[in-house]
Amino acid sequence: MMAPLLEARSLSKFYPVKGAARGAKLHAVDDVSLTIGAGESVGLVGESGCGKSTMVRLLGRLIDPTTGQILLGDDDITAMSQARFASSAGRRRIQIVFQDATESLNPSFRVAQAIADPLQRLLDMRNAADIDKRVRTTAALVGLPEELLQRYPHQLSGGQRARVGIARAVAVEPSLLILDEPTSALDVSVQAVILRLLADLRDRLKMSYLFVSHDLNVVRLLCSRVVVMYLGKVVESAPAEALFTAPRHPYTRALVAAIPDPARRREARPRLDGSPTSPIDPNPNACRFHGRCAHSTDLCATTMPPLRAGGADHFAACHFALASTGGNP
Amino acid sequence: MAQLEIDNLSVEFRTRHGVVRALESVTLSVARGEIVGVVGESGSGKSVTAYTVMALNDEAAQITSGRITMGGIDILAAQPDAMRQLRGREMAMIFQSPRTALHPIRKVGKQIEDVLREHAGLPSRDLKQAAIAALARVRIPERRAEAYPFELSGGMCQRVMIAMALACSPSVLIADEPTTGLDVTTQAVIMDLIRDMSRSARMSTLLITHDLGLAGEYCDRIAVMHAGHVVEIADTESLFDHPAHPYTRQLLAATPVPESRIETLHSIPGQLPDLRSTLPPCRFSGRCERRQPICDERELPWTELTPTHLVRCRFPL
Repeated sequence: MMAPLLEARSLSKFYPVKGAARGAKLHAVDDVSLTIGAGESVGLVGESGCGKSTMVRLLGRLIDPTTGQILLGDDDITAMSQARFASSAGRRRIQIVFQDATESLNPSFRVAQAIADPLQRLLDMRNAADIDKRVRTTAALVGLPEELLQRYPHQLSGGQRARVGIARAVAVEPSLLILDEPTSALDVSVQAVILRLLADLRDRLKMSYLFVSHDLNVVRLLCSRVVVMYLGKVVESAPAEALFTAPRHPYTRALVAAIPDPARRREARPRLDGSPTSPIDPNPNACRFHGRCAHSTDLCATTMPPLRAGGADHFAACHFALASTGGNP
Repeated sequence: MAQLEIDNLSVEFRTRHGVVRALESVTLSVARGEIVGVVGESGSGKSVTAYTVMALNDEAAQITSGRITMGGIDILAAQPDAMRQLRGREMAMIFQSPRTALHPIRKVGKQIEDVLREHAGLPSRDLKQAAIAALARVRIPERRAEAYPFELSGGMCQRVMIAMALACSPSVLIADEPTTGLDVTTQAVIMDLIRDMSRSARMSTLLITHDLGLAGEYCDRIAVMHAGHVVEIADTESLFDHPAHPYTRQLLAATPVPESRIETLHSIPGQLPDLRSTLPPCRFSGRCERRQPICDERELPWTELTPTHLVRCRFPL
């Protein structure tokens, strides 16, 4: 086990719900614990609404948790408010690459300004020559030609914009890079380049990655460990190979079975029926997957299954997470 | 004769910055009950093909040659009123961006009722039930029929649009990136539904997607497009097992599959050519490692590798 770089302890984020019963809360993230080792790449997957994006915002310290702690090294970074964290020294240690570079870049900033901005804000760099030098080395690092530095975002291609988004994040040399669907807007040919760039940067800058993607094949390529969320809870966490070849949780099995695979086109595969139950005040004593799960029993309706070890570094939150039913469902 | 036939279709866009040769000599057909995939990068002409078939192209679009028939009817010669009748009932389209394709201030259930009233000729008392049934097929609960598009997530809007397209059981479905933005689990259910309808109702489906994996799982045949040309068309097994066009091979090598390793994932060098410029017979030649002088000189022939596998390359793999 690698030394933990970031540790989330019993993290929860509840939102009040307008128009619902008084005091009703939407459980976006509910008691999630997670560690990311130094230099480790962790994938975070699950359906929309499972709490992935809330986790990105929590771990990126863009919002405050309702309860729980986040430790970065030995520092409790949840001790100060999100607003104070934004201007603290810790901010540069966790950076985020957002899903859509087109929307996350300031349209009136030239590329050079966009990359210089975090240097000025977070590293307090003032000397124009130093900043310029650092902007150029960062651009070179992400494969952005120098002649593009004076362009505006709308003058760039999708792949180039993605590189600018990455350059902004790595310019301050973070120890954790959170990648929120970094390639979902790109063509496969460009996606391949960006994925290789990300793998290369990770090795060169010794960063840890939290990689959020709906493309499970991409997650498998880049991550050594994968965490699966369902309705605000972690339902499974395992080394990537184990998760994809021998998933333990019925939900993970359905997820893996849904990956389009030309090699298995003639096989009938199990499909997940129905939709998730409501995230508003869910029954704390029932498995969140109860009602959608083919293996549900009375026990599932009355007892929430905890995350339990089921193999080397392999955890699943299911009363019936049996290895023998893993593999090809 | 196939249900949908596109024969030698060329489309240009007259713009202020020159003439964009968006499609050139595109030939494709979809038989009854068949699912044909169209794959390629952005800008390859996939969506223009779809919009031309539906006669929904922008006014700047000029069809310079070709013929499109649906069930023997010449679509390009059809009057706008006749096209209106065909669309919705006989041919339906799933658009890429559901947010802009849905009416923003009409409840989604009502929007499906509109389609059913207009095209299926259902009596008023049955409309509501039929709309709810259409929503149920894409797994949207009944209470959501009362929602406006802005109250639904992007994925939900997508499913509403799919429900709308399938509501009248069209004989031809044009699905333009139908599952973009949907979760894999929902994608699987929607694609299974489209496949089931293709098989049981003999619906002809043209599936436009950038996802080769998705095309590979669901399509019977796949056409690969590059810069406005169809460069290869084959039954799915042949295309995956023996890609013949250099572009197809590169596209496959760039697509992550379960067995991929980051070291073996390849990108495609170069970019699509500017479609406003004078283009060589093979529009891929500028990016191709097998390029010979003749590729830029003589007209490009189709090579028939097997009766179900055609490639437009002088030096196929």
